[in-house]
Amino acid sequence: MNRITRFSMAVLLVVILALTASGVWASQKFAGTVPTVPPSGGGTDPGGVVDMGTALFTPVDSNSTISVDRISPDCTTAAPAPDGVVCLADAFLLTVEPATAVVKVCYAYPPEYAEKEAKIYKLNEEANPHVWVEVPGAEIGDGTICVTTTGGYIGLIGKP
Amino acid sequence: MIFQLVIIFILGLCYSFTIAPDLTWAHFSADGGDLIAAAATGGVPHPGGYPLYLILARFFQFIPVGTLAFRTNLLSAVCTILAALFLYGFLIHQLSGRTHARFVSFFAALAYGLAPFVWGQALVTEVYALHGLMMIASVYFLSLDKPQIGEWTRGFIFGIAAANHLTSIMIFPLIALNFREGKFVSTRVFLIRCAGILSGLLLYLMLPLRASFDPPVNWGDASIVDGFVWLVSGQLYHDYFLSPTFADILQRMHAFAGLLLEQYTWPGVLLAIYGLFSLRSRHILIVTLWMGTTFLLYALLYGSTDSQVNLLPVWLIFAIWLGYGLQDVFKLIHNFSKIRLAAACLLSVILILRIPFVFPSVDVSDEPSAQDFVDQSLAEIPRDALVFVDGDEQIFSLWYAQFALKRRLDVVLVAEGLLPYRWYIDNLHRNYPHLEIPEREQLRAFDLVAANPERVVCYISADEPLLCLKADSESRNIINECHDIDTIYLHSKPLSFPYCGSLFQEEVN
Repeated sequence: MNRITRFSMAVLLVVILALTASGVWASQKFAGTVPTVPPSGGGTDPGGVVDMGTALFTPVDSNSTISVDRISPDCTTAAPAPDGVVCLADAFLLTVEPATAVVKVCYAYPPEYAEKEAKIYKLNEEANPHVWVEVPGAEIGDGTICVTTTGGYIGLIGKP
Repeated sequence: MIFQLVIIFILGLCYSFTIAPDLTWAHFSADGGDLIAAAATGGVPHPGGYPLYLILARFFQFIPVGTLAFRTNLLSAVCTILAALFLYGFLIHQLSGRTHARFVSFFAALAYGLAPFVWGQALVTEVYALHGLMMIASVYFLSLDKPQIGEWTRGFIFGIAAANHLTSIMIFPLIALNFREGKFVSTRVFLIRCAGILSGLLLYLMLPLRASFDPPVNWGDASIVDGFVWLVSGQLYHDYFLSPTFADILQRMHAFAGLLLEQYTWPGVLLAIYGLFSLRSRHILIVTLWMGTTFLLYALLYGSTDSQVNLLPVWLIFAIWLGYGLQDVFKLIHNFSKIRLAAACLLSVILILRIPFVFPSVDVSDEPSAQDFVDQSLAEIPRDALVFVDGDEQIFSLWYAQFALKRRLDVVLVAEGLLPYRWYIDNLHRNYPHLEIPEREQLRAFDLVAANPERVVCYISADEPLLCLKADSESRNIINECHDIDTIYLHSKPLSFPYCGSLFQEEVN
């Protein structure tokens, strides 16, 4: 190649580069050095447990599948809290397949919640209007409060 | 010698005015805190371990000037100046006997050192400035004639290059090349060079040794075989390769064109491409095309947030081509001494005049975001808090503060994304002996919160400032005031505890 040809080709390539140069390096959706924390509730770990950050949903029946959605802003979205108590933490809509399957629900339970006598409640959707009802048989220990229940709206409710 | 001194002076001046005086996140240096902390504490940073970098960084950290982070940043500046000098030496060696070889080499070396991307990497703690140095050093020593350097040494340089950054193995095939003649070396020479490479790679054995002392930053626990293999093979990141979609790759190719023009401007790129077409020697063509293509492909196909840093060797190759292009132009005007002189002066002036334009985009001498984050977080985190941290910048900055600077040793820092790894749980045990860590296979943040009810729980992520979710007894009244605040989201995760962020912080302060 003589100089003219080389130079012409170089000019052509620079023009192509200049015309195609645009946008930013595709990087936003990719991971960094430390693996990112998967959004809770969007998936389950190998045991089928759904981790909503500070509440865990564990299917008791291994053949069941569950999904959990947070209801916003708190349990009062579904129904007012009973007299004298308030919503202390997030409430969730627990969907279970099959519908009769039982799920273990655990909330983190720091001493403040114990002092507020916080309990796990479930929305009674058959009542009109809907009302929050305490789920019986709560087990408190190791910094958690756990109950077993079926699908529905779940919330942690206690004294203000 | 005058040209080398001018290179050192100009680059030294530019870098000294723009270098980060402390920890920074600029120029893709989110990992800086990890590297500084690992180097300072005899630790092992993220995969692939970077043993060569650790040795050199520790050496610089002993220099009695500025902050620990600044001293580590200095290593990058020195490496980039050395890379420019090696580039100058390489081009001088290849263009020896030709007209204006010195000026052409000088110009190309300065153009490399002043390219915005390269300049930026010279100012921060990252492995890429050293990576650029090792790449040009590898090519430089490969190109030297036999009496000047032994075959084992050539291989050794390649080996220690890979002991800095694993991607250096992509240029290993070049050791089969007889640089002078542009053909393959004999089997005997090849084996000697391979022995040199293996000797250089022995630096990796430093990692198990460091890991055996249980340093606070100890990725993978390389003291055991599985951990060592996990670390040096970069297993954590294997899935990143080939993860970009075709659309991502296409977008990156467009971005690459823009980045290239940004590094050398369009006249510079024109000269570089012209230089590529003007290359007469087959060996230079093979070496530069191989290195440029492999690193470009790697950057395009590697799915990490900062994959464009892998383009640094590509910018190096373009600087070499730029030198050849310029040399050919000077050859063309060889008989016109006044034009030659005018062209040399004009090019030098253009290069110098470009500095003020690049300066603001690379300057991190007054970029306090990382340090502000560290100072603010450490001032506000309640005593003995359990802090879940997400995001490279946030995690590594706090590691730097706690492990390297020994600040807020009462606080427990948990990188939530590392909880699935056994070695990380072991690190937590050693770093925080008073932390209750339940023994279970898939340890979650929830388990740590539940097992440590006496600790205030805080979250820090790239999207959220410090959020503390539970107050101690003195602050309980503040919690009550927080109940009406809407639920806060943390990296798409709703928080279940009562929010007591700013009000609580006021109480703590």
